[in-house]
Amino acid sequence: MGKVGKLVAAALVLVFIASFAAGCSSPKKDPIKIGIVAPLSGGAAMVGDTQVKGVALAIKQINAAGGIHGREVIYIAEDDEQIPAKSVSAVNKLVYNDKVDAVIGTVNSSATLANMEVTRKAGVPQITPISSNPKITKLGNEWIFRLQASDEHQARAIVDYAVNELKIKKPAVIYQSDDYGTGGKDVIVDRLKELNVNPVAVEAFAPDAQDMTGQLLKIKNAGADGLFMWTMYAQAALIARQARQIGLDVQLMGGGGLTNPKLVELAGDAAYGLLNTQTFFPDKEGASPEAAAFIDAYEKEYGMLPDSNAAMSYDSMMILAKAMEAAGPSLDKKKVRDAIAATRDYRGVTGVITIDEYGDANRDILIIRVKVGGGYEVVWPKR
Amino acid sequence: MLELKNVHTFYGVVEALRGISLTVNEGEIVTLIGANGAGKTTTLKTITSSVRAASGEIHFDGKRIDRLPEDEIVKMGISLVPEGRRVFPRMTVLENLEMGAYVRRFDRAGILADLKKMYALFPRLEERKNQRAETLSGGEQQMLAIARALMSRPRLLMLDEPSMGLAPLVVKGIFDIIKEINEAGTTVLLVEQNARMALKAANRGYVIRTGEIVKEGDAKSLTEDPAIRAAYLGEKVYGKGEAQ
Amino acid sequence: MFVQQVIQGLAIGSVYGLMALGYALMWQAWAVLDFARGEAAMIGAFSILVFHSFFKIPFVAAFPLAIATSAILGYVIQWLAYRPLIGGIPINRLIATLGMGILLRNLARVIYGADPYPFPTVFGDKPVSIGNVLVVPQNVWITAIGFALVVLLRLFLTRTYTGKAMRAAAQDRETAALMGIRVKQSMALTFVLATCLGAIAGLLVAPVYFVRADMGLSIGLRGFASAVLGGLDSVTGAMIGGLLLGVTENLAAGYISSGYQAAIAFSIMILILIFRPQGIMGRRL
Repeated sequence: MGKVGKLVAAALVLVFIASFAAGCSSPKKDPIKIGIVAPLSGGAAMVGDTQVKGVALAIKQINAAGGIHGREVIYIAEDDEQIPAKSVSAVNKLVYNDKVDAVIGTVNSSATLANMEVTRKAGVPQITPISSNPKITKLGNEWIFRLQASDEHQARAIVDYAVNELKIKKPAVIYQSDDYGTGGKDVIVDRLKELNVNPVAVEAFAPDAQDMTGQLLKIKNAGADGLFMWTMYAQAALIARQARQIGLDVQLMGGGGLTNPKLVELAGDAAYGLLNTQTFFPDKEGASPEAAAFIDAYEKEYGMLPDSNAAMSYDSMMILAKAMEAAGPSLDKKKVRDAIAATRDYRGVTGVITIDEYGDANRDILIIRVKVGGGYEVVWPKR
Repeated sequence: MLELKNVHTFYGVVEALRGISLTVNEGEIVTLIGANGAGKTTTLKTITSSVRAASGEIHFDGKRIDRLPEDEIVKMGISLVPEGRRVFPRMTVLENLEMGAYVRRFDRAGILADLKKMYALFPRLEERKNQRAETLSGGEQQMLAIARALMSRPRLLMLDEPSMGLAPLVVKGIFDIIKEINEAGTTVLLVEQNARMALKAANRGYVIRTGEIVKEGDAKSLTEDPAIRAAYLGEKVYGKGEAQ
Repeated sequence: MFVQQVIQGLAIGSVYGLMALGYALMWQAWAVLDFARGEAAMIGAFSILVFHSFFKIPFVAAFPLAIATSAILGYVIQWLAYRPLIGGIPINRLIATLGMGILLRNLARVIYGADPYPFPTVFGDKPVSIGNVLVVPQNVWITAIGFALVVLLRLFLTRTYTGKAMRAAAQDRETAALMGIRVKQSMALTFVLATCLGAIAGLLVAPVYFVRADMGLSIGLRGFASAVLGGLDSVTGAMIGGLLLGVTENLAAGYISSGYQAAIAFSIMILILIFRPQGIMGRRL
């Protein structure tokens, strides 16, 4: 899967449109349109694909239960290749051509930072399921909401765990030099200072870098006993392997961007023991009833386990639907926005969510560890 | 040995050769003289197939060659010393000579023997065999270009302006060598702007003007032709003729 | 730490060098900066991935198969997109290479998806310590193969008729044809050779940096920078340029600031262009 993301997505759209055309004969009213902006091709195509899947599953369930105000819901997915400029044109198309009622997306933080200006100007509510750069909700844009725990929350959680539980004294930080990486790095460094721990090295690498040994050697020479990395799983895999090659044997830690089965596939045993934050983990035994039902439905629909992005996207759509119900049949966009902002203690599949004054979801954060041989286990909160 | 029959050649829409006919017999030195842009170089390029004749026929040893690819022409025994020498600048003298022998590259012993012959003919080349060709003087480069052309063991050697840009003394040396090569059995077709030197060396000559042969004859009669003296030998002879 | 940084730089540098060789060959034979060069590495890496990881063919057999596949693809690519533009306007050729690069990257993405694939290490990636320096066998092999290929390429270009004919055709197409050299064939061969070198670079780094559709982009850019550093008309220079870039990148990360790693490396390239435009080993232009 994810191999022909764009085609799959296009096919999904067609299937959905076709199924409505064929299956639902009763509704005479126009459907409610949800715009999805996601990387359907390019380096993050796999993540974009699960975003569409999560929203699509939610819409399917909503329609099965009678839609919103008796109207059916459809979605229109646009590819942004996680390039900010393309993301802006994608959202422009959704807002002005397709006249969507709300936008869900996107994955990449830099792309969200760029495209959320479009929805702000047009006054269209937007929820990004997993863009985690702290800036997104701190720019005074009241039309953007985020379900993912921001990097700020995630980074603080992993730093607290490292310092309080693992007793790490000489941590180093390595990050990719874009909005996502820099945002995470800043929070880590600040939080470490608050806990009176000084990072022994703070190193950057270009988002397309392949060889990080120069940085890792410096970190090794600085005598680090733990390494925070703020990047995505593919480069984290490179870092894990290269760290081992130069004999840098320290606890590796990071954010939600690292959770992916590919990490272990790429890094092999070098990834064992790696710790990272997570907000959703497809573990049926330990799951809440909501999460368990979601995991089942998702598996039945797509023949695979949902990743955290699918779950976040599912919750995004569900919160949006609830807000649309609350805002009344006119679907006045300002009222929908206010209803999203008023979300309190919503029991989603990713946990209990309260939208705070900035539009950020307040939620519990898990810390998970890569098991020897692959797979994850939850290490925090302790059971 | 070589015969061109009514050959027309175009560069795009420009007709560079307008029906050239000429013959070169075995053992001769034939010269083709004419002003700049008259079609001398085009004639040679048409023979080597680097430009295609639009119509007309070219025969070599009784075989039609105007539809053959360039490497076949070389293999049949026609070799050209191009205008401006065109040695391979960043290859050594030895490598340049080897490139001349490219069509017979599997004849290792033959190539070694020919290299010795070339070094005997042009001792300067042996002294400089491991130098890059671009470091040679103009005269040396001309010697290299001739030697390179001879490495394919041609039976017809064609030279395009071998005197160009060389000091008179050097030009004399080059022409002596051309004669020497001819005496050793190689037929020569010589294109020159320096008509005086060319006619002195040649048995026969053709005069080409704007893509047409306007005069032909043995070298002696051409040298004495007042019109040619006026037009190509730089002498001020007034009267009838075709002074330009 | 200095020695360690240099050793790491040499390994990645020899890969850059192999890419740079491709740029230099293409520059000489086709008079074009071939911006689809990096894709040769991608083609090589995916070829070995398909043969070794998907079809489970042992590496020793998969390696020549992958090279052969790359060579055939290289021939087809030059025949389709490069040969028709011989003798045309140079900028057209340049644009054709850019287009070909985008086409190949996206084709790979459609076929293989955007996610990286792991590739098993062949030469071993467990570090061995020599004194206080850690050496990864894989890196030693990469460096050694890089050097060996430069030596072989030099021998090929200076000792064989085919190689010399390639140089002759690169230096003067028209005169080479007069010698009876089939110039288009010779140019195609140069293209195939450049593609094979790129493919080898790609499959050497496959275990280290994984195999992905867009891997050619960053490796190609660095190969280009190396070729400019070393001089586009020198085979030895291209390799030296690669090593220099690799070592500089590593030292820059270690001693100056890792945030500016790429910036420092490319600043050096720009300085070279200003003060020695022909490159370190290149001839004066």
